[in-house]
Amino acid sequence: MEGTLHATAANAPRAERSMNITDQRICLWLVPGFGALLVLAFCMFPGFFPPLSPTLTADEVADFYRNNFAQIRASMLIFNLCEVTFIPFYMVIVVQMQRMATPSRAFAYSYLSAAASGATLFALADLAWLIAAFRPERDPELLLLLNDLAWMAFITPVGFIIAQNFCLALAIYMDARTKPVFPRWVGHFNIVIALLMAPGAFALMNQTGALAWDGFWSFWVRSGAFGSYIAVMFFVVRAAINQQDREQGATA
Amino acid sequence: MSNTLSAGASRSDTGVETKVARDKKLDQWICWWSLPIFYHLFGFIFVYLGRLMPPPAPGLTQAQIVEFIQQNSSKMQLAWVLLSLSLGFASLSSGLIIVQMKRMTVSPVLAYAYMAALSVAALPGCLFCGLMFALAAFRPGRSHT
Repeated sequence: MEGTLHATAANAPRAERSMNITDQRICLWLVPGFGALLVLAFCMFPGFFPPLSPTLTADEVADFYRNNFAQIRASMLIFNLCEVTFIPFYMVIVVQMQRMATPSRAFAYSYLSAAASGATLFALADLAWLIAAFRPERDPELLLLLNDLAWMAFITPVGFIIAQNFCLALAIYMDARTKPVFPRWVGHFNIVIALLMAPGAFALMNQTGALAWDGFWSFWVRSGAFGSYIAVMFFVVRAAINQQDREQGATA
Repeated sequence: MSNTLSAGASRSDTGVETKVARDKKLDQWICWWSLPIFYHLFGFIFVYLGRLMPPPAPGLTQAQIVEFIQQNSSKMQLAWVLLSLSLGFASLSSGLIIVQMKRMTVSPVLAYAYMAALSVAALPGCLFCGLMFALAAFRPGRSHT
């Protein structure tokens, strides 16, 4: 993070300045590359279209793992390898937040901390799905337990992305630059996405209906909101990096 | 490191125009208020709703544990829903502490170590516990033999 600081100073050497832009662009372009693989893994997982119901019996869940174990393993392996590539993207947002004329970097550091915690959660869901598919001949009651753990770890811990978006939105509102790093609507957009993902937490207490883990709010709205969030933020962050590039060129 | 402190002011050196600075500490105060608000909520979640403080005795028999979960399942579920929604806000206090640690006349290595330790600790130390109890309370009729 300190590197960014020094590189934005007007007296930084030219090579260091362009490197600072290049490394952010590399992290940015990991998103469409690995994002495509993640979409592929999402579509490959046989339990998403439609999402597995929480009302299935232990034997029905066991049948699902026994009949589809190869596809489950393949899709979860891709998730396992690619999921963490959102971290470099979030860190580009942290670097851009540090360019903002906010009173301090408190929100940038909070964002970093929340992003690091949040990214681990999908790994837990992924691991539970992989363990269930590893021995599909296991006792159906245990498969049901692993299946519950996987779905809950996947759908319900929305608090970290909510905190991330909240920090980013507040930082955008407080950015005192006349040409802000991110336009104000990005702040509103972050709040709206956080609100759309929040109902996912209620999947912990609902086995049926729109709030259950296979329901309209918990599954479709939550997944759709996250997907569109990454897609929109990709272009917004790209514009912010381009702005930084122009500003550094102007002060050179 | 002083640029962490007065980020707004130092930016003018780089030729970036800024509007008149408003409250110079507003973001740090927002982070600070997350401490009393969310730690009160955590207390409500763990003590009143989750019934984990004081902790149930480790010597409970299987039947007693099943009874403990079944009797409290709806409150417990609400507890872990609230935890899932709010745990991320614990990050705001670490953001504030990093800003303050970076004012100190020491290398930032301790600040970064603090941030990494706290980001990781939130999961096994808090969320995982909630998720496991939520799992137990989700199907109180689950087979327990």
